[in-house]
This record gives sequence, C-alpha cells and structure tokens, in this order.
Amino acid sequence: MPVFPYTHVVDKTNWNNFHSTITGRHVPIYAILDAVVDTTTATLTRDQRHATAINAILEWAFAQNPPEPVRAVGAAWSLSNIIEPGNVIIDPGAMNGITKVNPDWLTEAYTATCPDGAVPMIVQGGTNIQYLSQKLGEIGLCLQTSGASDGHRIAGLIATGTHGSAIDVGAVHDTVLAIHLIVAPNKALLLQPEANSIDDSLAEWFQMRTGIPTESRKDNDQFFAAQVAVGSMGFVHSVVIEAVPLFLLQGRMIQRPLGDAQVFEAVRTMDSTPLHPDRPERPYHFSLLINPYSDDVGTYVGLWWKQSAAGVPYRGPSWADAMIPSDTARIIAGLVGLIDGPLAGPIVEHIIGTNLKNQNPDGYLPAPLFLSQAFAPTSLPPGVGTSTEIVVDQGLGVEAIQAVLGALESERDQGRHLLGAMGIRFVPRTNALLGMNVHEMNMYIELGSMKNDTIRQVHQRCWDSLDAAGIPYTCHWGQEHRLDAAHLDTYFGDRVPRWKAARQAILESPEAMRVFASPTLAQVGLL
Amino acid sequence: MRYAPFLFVLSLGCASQHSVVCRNPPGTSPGVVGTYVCKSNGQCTADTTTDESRFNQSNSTKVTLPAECKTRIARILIQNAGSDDATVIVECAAPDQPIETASLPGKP
Repeated sequence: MPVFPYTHVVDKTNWNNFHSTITGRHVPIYAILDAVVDTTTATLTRDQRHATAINAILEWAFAQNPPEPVRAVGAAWSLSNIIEPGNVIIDPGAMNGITKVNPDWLTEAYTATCPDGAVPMIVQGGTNIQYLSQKLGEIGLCLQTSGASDGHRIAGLIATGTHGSAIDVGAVHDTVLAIHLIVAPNKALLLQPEANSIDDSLAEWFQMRTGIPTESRKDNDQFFAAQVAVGSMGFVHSVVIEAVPLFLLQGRMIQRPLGDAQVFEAVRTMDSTPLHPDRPERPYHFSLLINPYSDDVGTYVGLWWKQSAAGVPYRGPSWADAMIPSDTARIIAGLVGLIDGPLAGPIVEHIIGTNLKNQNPDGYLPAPLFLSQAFAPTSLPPGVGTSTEIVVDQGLGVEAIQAVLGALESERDQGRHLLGAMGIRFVPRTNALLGMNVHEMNMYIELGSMKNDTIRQVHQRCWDSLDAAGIPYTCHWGQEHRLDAAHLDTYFGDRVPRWKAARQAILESPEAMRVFASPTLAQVGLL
Repeated sequence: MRYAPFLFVLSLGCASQHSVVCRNPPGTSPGVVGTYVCKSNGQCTADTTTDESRFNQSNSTKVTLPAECKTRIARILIQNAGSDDATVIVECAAPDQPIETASLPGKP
C-alpha cells in the first residue's frame, strides 16, 4: 500500500455510500487527508499539508500504468452511482476552511451588480453545509439557497447540481463565483467566467497558501463546465460562493386536492399569489408535495417568504423546528416501520395519505426560520430510501406532472406503489453546462420512496411516460436515473460537446483525463 | 483496539454492563465547560444534576476515546452495550477554523 504524506491510507474492505445504493465495495486506497497528524509539531500549515498530500496522491496515480483513477468523496449522499469508487478515494473531510475574499480584490463590475451586502467566501471542498451555515451565521451571513437538507459537502453538492426551490435565485452552483481546481500534480487553476468577480490576487493567494502553481483563467465554458462537473474535472480544492446577509423565511403550507386547477395554473404561470390572496407577495420559495393516491388532500403547496433577520441572533437547525418539507425524505422517514412488507394497496395509500396530512397541516409555521433551519438535517434513516428526480422545462410542467401521475396510476393497477410522495420544485436558468436547470424556468419532480423490490419498475414507468408524451427530461445527477448519451443529447443539446471540450481544455493530458474519469462519464457518453 | 483516523473501533470486552462512560485520554482535554443531557429526539438540555458518582458506577464500562481525535468527536456508536462483544465506534470531527479575510503580503 502506498504511503502519502499527511495522509492516512485505510484499506476499506466494505465501503458503502450513505443510502446504501452502492454497497460492499473494496477500496484498497482510501486516503484521508490530514488524519492522525500531530498538528502541533507539523512544520507546514494546514493548507500546505493538504496540498502536499494531494500532490503526492496525484503523482502516484499519474505514474501508474495505466494511470489510476482517483475519486474525491463528498458526503456520499448521492443515490446514483456518481461516486462509484475505483481503487482510490481521497476523503477531504479535513478541508473545511472558510475565508472571506478580500473586498479590495472584487471587480468593479461585480460590486456594481452583486446582491446588496453580498460577501464572496472561499469555501474548501470538504466543507459540510451545516457547518458552513453555522460559521456564516455567526458572522451574519448565509447561503442564498441550499438543497433540501444540509449533510452534503460543498464540492459534491455542486458537482451533482443540488438545488432548492428559490424561484428567483437558482441552484447552489448558480451562486458560485469561482472554482479552484487541482488538475495534475503541482498544477492548479482558478476558474472564473470572463466577466470575473475577483481579480488575479485570488489566484496568487491560493498559490501562496498551497504552494501549488495556480493559473488564473477566465473562460466561460470552462467555468460553466466546472460548475456542475459530475465529479470529473479535477480535485475541487475550493469554491468561492456568494453569501448574503442573514435573512429569515416565514413558511406556510396550503392544502389542496389532487389535480387542483389553481395549483396547476400556478405551475403554468409561476404565479402562486392566487393561492394566497391574503398575502399577494411573490414567495422566495415555492414547491409542492403531491400524494398521487389521494382522494382527499393530494397537494401540499409549500411557500416561504423572505423577511429581515435584523436583530435576530443566528440559530442553527433543531430537530424540534416545525418544517415545510420541499423534498420527500420526511414522508419516507415517517413510513419506516409502518410499511414493513407487502400490504394491500388501500392500506398503503391510507398510511401515505395520513402521514402526509399529519406532517403538513394547513397554515403558517409558528415562527420564521433561518434558511439553514428550514432546510435542515435529513430525517431519512440511511439505507431505507431511494429516489429519482426528473427535470423538465417548467413550460411543460403540468403535462409532465400529469404524465407521471398517469404512470403511477398504471403501476398502482399492477399492485406497485411509490412508497412516498412526489416533490415538485422550481429553479431558474443556469449557465452551468450540465446543470439540470437549462430552461428559463425548470421544474423538478422528485419521486422519493421507501426502497423495495418494485420501486425501480415504478420509476421506469414514470420515465417511460415522459418519453411517450414527448417531454424532454433529464435526471438529477445525484439520484437514481437511466440517463444515456441519447437522453443527454436531447436535453442538453450543444452543452454536451461544449462540456466535453471544456473538460479537455481543463485537464489537457490523457493521464489527467483518465485519473479524473468516473464510470458515470462512460455511462452517459461524456468521455 | 484497532483504529483508523476519523473512525475508531474500541472493543470493550465486558459483560452485562448497563452504562458506558466515554472519556478523553488523560491530559488531552482542555477541561469541561458544561454538561448536557441529550435525548433521542435531538434535544439537549443543561444537566440539572451534579453527581460524579454517575460516572463511577461499579457496573459501568469505561472507554478511553482515541487521542487522535484531539477531543473533537463527530459521532459515537456503542454497539452491543451490555454484552461481552460491546464495541464503540468513534468518528473524529474535523477541526474548527476561524473565518479570516484573505490577504497577500505587500498588498491591501
């Protein structure tokens, strides 16, 4: 087994991802950065130790014949095979440094157009989102949006296109201003779009901190490719994320019947105000939870309005906070123990309906929450859930919901159920080449379920129903999918060859292209 | 004890114990600043009792946590507590970092 400096290598004989959709893998070189290091006597700084370790691992990988693929692991939350490991994993959990970008380094163009009070923050790739929110909260800042929960690490989160439903913000990758990649031993890039937010001082700073020569590169396609890199564009050392002053969100749930015309109209127009005429303001967040088997309340409209947090001290998430779920994890968690084996269809449907109704009462939450409280730790126990998330043009959103509901109805007739619910969220357009949100407005249909022997057939029928309806779609990179090259071409069009060309330009050598490749790339035609 | 960084497995080798006391190695902890009682609902409240004897019951098992964690613990899993095969799995937490502002020597 190779030995790397400032690294502890473990022969993992039974590696599993969080949701146990990848199980029992043997990873002979599981390299944990900066573990078991006596930091009190180490002569290098933390950043230098990490850089020394990464350089050594990459030198070793590049020198193998053929070069050995290396995967950097995030929180391993993805349900898809995106983190399918090979022989080598780098675990950068110790890379959780957070630093403010020097305000003198911000470009005039950026400061003239950025959100009020925005503060670009350098966040190292291994940083956990809950920790990031806590540290930002302590200095009066927060993320603009997040996933539905907070256990991810930042590099993995953006690599998979993780999103919320902040309808005027975008996905998390849309709040990233720059990306610092290590692309070969002793070689790093600081990528920004051509309209850069930060001057070259930042690349100098990375070089000073790590000792790795760092090129400041402003290139639209390369930056837009690295925003959603599918874990294949080099080692993400850090990202610069645009934080904003802390704000609060006031949450409200509105119960409506399944197929409610006013809800469908809101999906068509992205104007939810007719659903809440007593508060005719555009919400910050708009999402739906749908019980596909309901003959009573079948739609739960989730709304969050932004309000000032002036004078309110930051508080982190708590299990006790009332919630408005925007994903399906909580409903699945609520079913664990209730649906334990084959049950008659009407009983399954009764349990799902009762749980959803009990968890999501009509009305306002008792108190406003910070973003990190509203999208807090998942309650879904590891290993029990599965999900796919389909993304379509919001202009076809109602048709897509109806197609999926039809598919679920057909599956129900065969005795197969989605043991969960449908979560519907909306995100505006991205520049990220492989971000799922390529349309002016995008609708995400999450089909979360308890895991069982038939759920794959249920998901398959949903995907087939969209193909049959002629609705182009893609799937969340971090959830179950059946994407292939044809689906990618149909959905992403010329973004696919642009992404591939950008990857080539970033990684340059055949050795780097192999070291940073993943099985997903071959599966979906991105090699 | 076999161990890996960030994830330590401690075999207790005890029988019929009712509680497990996990403690840092001597000389590693900078001291105690508060005591909390935590329940499975995620709620922790300040401990209203001060009673050292709770930590020294004759039927409890005492486990020394790995020094490599440097007192920073992410999670502790006690498997088979009260059996001959009791095992403690310890995840060390990454170090906390203060937020600073990036700067370069000789530049503002």
